[in-house]
Amino acid sequence: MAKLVIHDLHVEVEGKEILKGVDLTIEQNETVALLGPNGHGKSTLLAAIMGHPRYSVTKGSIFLNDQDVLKMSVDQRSKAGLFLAMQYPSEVPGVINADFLKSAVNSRREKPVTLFQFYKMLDTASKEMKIPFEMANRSLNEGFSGGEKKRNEILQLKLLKPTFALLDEIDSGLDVDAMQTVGEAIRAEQQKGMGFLVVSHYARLYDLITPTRAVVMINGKIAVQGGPEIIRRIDTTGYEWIKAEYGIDVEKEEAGMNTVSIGSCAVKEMK
Amino acid sequence: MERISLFEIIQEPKVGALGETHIALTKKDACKHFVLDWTKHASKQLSLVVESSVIVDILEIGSSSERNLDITLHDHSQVQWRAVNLVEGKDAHVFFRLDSSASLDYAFADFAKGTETIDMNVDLIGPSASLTCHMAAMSYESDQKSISVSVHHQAPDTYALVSSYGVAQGTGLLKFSGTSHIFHGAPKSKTHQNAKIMVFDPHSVGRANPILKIDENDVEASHSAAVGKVNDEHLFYLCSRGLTPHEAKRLITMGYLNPIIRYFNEKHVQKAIEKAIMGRI
Repeated sequence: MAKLVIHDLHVEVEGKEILKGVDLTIEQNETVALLGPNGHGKSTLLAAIMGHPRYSVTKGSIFLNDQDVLKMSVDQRSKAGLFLAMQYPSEVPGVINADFLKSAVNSRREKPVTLFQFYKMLDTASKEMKIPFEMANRSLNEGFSGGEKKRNEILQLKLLKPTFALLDEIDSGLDVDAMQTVGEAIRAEQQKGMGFLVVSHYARLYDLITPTRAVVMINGKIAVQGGPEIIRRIDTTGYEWIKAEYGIDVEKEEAGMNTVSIGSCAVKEMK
Repeated sequence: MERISLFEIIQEPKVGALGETHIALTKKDACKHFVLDWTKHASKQLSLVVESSVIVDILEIGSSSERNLDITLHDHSQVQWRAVNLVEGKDAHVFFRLDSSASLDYAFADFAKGTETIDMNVDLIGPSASLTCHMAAMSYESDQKSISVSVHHQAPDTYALVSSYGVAQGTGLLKFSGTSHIFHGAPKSKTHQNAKIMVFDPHSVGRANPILKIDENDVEASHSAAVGKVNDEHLFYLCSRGLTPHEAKRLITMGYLNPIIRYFNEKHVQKAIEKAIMGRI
């Protein structure tokens, strides 16, 4: 059984420490809900696992079975079985969606897929994700609506069949029907044994995909772990109870001070 | 599509004082497709006149020798000019003169190796003359490639759009420049220039200098320039799906330069351009 083990992970972005010692283990067949207030490191954790160049790991380890993930390049991590569905997928002008998908599929195969096989795969996945097939011939994500981009992420997941999928707010920008489509696609992959680490602020997505457990990230650390009932509790009461029960102060996002003070152009001094 | 060689249509080529070949395209040549293949002809100087109201299209195939062109488009003529050089770059001087209501639709795919200076001047001397010009170029290794397109709006209501896309690789230099000049006495003219260069390697140099000179009121003019490296977010996105950085860059570059291909009508030319781009990334 495949296992993703994160130990004492510290991550910096532009000199600022965001993750301050994350310990988390995910097994295949598990769907872990990752919750937490904004700005506490959920997206950072996902991006660091995938190897985004802006996030530098200063301490700790990530292992996928016995493979040291931190020693791998981004493409090696993908080929090893990790997949990140991005919160804001890039629009890449000129790169045709189908060409990109074909290269991605071929990157993990010894023998390249034939054009016929590929179009069949793509056609099936497009139908399941309710994406018009013509979109395959458009530039990658360019001019796609928010919902189309997110469905395109799940379409890629279906084609690439990773061992562990990291979903970063896959439900933002989705309407009710699209949420249903995405939820069904995730459920189908769960049944095939794919492991999931899912970031979302809303119980609605979690209701569709029934996570096996939930973890809460606060101040760059996993503060609370438990069963899926935590999701319901946070959805109805927020994060305040964590302070009361666990004695953890939830740091507020720093509001940057404006360096320019309010001035006035014409001041008439009265004596 | 069958193309007729430009050098074949003249029974007795007129050779000028400077050794240039003179060719005139008249009514009988209208609506024909021509090819100007420098690899198949000794002359490197050409003076071409397209007579009034004649519509033609010309495919120019570059060779590894210097060339000079002087082309006049008489009133109401329409020329679709496609130039391609995939072999070896050499200097070229191209001069177009457009009479009233003449239109030139020009596209150049320059994926030749070597150091070169391409200098193109377009004089819009008649009212309502118009030019659209699309360039795509790449510099390799230590090539010093410089492409300049200058447009002179000398009559009212003339139009020009010059758009250049390029990639600089290795330790090479790629430079797009040119001046769009609206003369006094050319009101209602419109001129637009944009240049974009993607810099691939730490030591490659890209320069984009589009210049506007405006000596008349009631005109429309714009210029834009961008030089930058491959977008990190785009690279990360593609790599996170298993593409190696090399493959990802290849796809991005192809996507960036590919639009030039659709200006060419023939499949085999399109294929050759695509192959040249792929082979040199």
